[in-house]
Amino acid sequence: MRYALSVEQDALARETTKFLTAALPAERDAVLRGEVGFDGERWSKACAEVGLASIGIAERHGGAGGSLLDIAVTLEASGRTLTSLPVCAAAVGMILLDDLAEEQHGRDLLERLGTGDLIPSWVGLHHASALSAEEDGGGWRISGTVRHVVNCGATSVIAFAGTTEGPRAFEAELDQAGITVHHERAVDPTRPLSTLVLDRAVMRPLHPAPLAAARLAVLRARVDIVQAAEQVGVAAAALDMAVEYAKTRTQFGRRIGAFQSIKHLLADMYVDVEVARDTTRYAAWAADDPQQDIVQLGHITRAFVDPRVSRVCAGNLQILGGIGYTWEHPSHLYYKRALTSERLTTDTSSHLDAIATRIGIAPSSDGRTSQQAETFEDSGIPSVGRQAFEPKSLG
Amino acid sequence: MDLSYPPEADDYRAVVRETLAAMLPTGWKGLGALDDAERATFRTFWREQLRMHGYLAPSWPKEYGGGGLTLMEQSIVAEELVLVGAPQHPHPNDANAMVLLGPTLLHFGTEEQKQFFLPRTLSGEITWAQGYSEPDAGSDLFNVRTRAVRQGGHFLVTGQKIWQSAGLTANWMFALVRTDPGAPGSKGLSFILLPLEQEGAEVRGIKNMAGETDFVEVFLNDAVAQRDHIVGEPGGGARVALGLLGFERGSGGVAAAAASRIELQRLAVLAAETGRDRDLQIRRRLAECWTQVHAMHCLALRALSAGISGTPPGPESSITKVVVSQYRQQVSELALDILGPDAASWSGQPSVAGLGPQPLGTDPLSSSAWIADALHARPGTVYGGSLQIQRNTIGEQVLGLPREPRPAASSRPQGSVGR
Repeated sequence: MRYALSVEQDALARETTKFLTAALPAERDAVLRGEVGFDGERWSKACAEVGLASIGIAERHGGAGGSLLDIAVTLEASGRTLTSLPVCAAAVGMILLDDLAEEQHGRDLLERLGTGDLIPSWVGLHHASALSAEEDGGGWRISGTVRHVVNCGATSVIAFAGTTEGPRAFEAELDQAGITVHHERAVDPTRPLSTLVLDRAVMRPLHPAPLAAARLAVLRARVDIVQAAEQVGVAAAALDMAVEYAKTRTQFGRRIGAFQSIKHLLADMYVDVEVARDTTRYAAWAADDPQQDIVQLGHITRAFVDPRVSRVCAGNLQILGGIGYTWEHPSHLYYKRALTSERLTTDTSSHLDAIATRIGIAPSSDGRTSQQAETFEDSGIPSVGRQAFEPKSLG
Repeated sequence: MDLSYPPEADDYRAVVRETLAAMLPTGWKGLGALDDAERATFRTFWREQLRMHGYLAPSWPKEYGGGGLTLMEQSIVAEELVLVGAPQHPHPNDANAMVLLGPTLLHFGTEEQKQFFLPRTLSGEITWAQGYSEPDAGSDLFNVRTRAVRQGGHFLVTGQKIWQSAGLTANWMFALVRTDPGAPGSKGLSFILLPLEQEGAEVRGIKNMAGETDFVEVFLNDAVAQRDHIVGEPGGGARVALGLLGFERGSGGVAAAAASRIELQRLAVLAAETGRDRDLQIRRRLAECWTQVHAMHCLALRALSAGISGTPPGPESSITKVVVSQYRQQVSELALDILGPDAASWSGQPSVAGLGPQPLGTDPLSSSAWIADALHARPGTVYGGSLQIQRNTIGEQVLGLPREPRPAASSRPQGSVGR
């Protein structure tokens, strides 16, 4: 049993961190000046040298065949710098395309994703789709409007749209007649958002058949877990910032970190970061194990991590005092990332409701107590060691 | 990273499960399902069963009557006991003995000390109290004033200890005492073993706010200790006491998380039976507790991995203490909220476990059990290193923040106060 990352994962984390840290000063300046966009050359390099857009692609699709934990490791590094590079978009692209894409079309997409050529946005995965799809001739046309779509210089959109036989996955270039992209004024300047208006947009099916609800739920969970990893990076950076400040800022003749009130707040923030990371790493590791209830793990991980990350980022603002409130100082970027990440797809309350349902806590209207208790027990998270004896069904 | 158990651990778990099943009476539903009389009988029976199978002192080497188990095996045994609702430490003084005193002797004791004390401890002939805290030495542990003065082949020990759990059933105490009043703070302390059943030692029970008399204060007035019952170097007591922090790191966390999961399942039953689960906020709070129980499980696996890897102690134990003690307060208050007005009076089966969650089989509808846990959860952030001390430790030793200003050496009181 080994909690620590493998030697390879450690190396991946270090390389990614090094790459993103080098990009940080220029990116930070640009963001604070109000510029949107990323350095395309740097992204191509990131893809070629670090493999940020191909780690999670299966070997049979030409990728490095990495695990969800490998992707999570890179996302944690990207959360630390709030990079403008589309690391998160690439991660989501890897997760969705690697699972859904088939045949030549799919392989082409994966290849272009891996080289950094294709940068995806994604709609309809978390929310009941505002999009509907209808067949037209041999193809499909998708219509609907979706707000607050993460758009880090996206070239393409992966859309989950409703059809008469259930949700289907589609893909298309954004630059086409049927799609209009309206840029929103994102509160978090490091993560541009857009409203996508699709008007009978021509899109290609990403997957030949409608998708079962369970399969979509698993994809959501995998995306949620890597985003939790990014959140951990955000919190870790905010903590580091606060600790550094507490060690240097002097008032009343001493460094403010000597005061218990500051020290204790930082200690609580540290604990939040540590347990958030432990939980996220566990989920990312467990996600590839078919015996684990990954949908539940996704809910649990986000519900646990998001509020703690927000708390840490708010704590950082508190420690920094007046300076933390300014535009110039980057701490507001971390706070804004946390507060938007907590709400952009599924909020904490929704995750908690899903957990409650899955563990069998439901309003008792007809004395179903003993049944509920059974369900609760059956759908509880098994201890890792028990799986060998009592594989739990994921149903 | 790989948090799965290796195949040999799974095999071992199967053996433990079979063994426990064979040891337990038919129709066993957990310790919580027994009445007082049944429980008392069971504890005596069970202690002997555990001892025979090496489960009572799993970390001790076999040659000293223990199980000689690896850290992972210890973790599995602890967890499996929780899952069947049978106690790892049936007698109130067992934890002090098996987890604290035994390993201390094994690491720092002489062979004579081991040969004398360990078998008698295992048999239950000797029952231990932990004599660290004093009225003036709580968080400031090394401000110990109890004096031990050499007199020929003995020490005469004078002073006062307080907060000794299971003190009324202890007949021996391992204590931190000051053998060198000239040396300040942590220097000049020795770790000594002394019998409580003697004229110079008086044990007085203290009633806690849950109405139980479990812990005690101990008045020592020229109590006699053998000179060769000092453990480790004379004057090296602080090192011995701190050494405990390095033992069996990470072996109990998985079991503790499992115990919290069982407790939460019981709380969900209470919510369902009372109809309080119709309240959305209650459901969400239960779900939120579920996420914390899961997180504690993840943290426990991390601590177990760290212990197994043999790396020097890291921040895991501080993190665990901070998280777990606060969780207990949160979940027990949720229980009170679910009870509503029923939280205002004792009713139903009394609590079984003094610290931490009630065992499997406890009646979900017993308000007494929930109220007791809520009351017991308050000192959970006080003993064993208070929440404030843990935060200082994390802030200073982990984050490297400036240390607390220390009092000037001359302002520190020296020596003993007696009574």
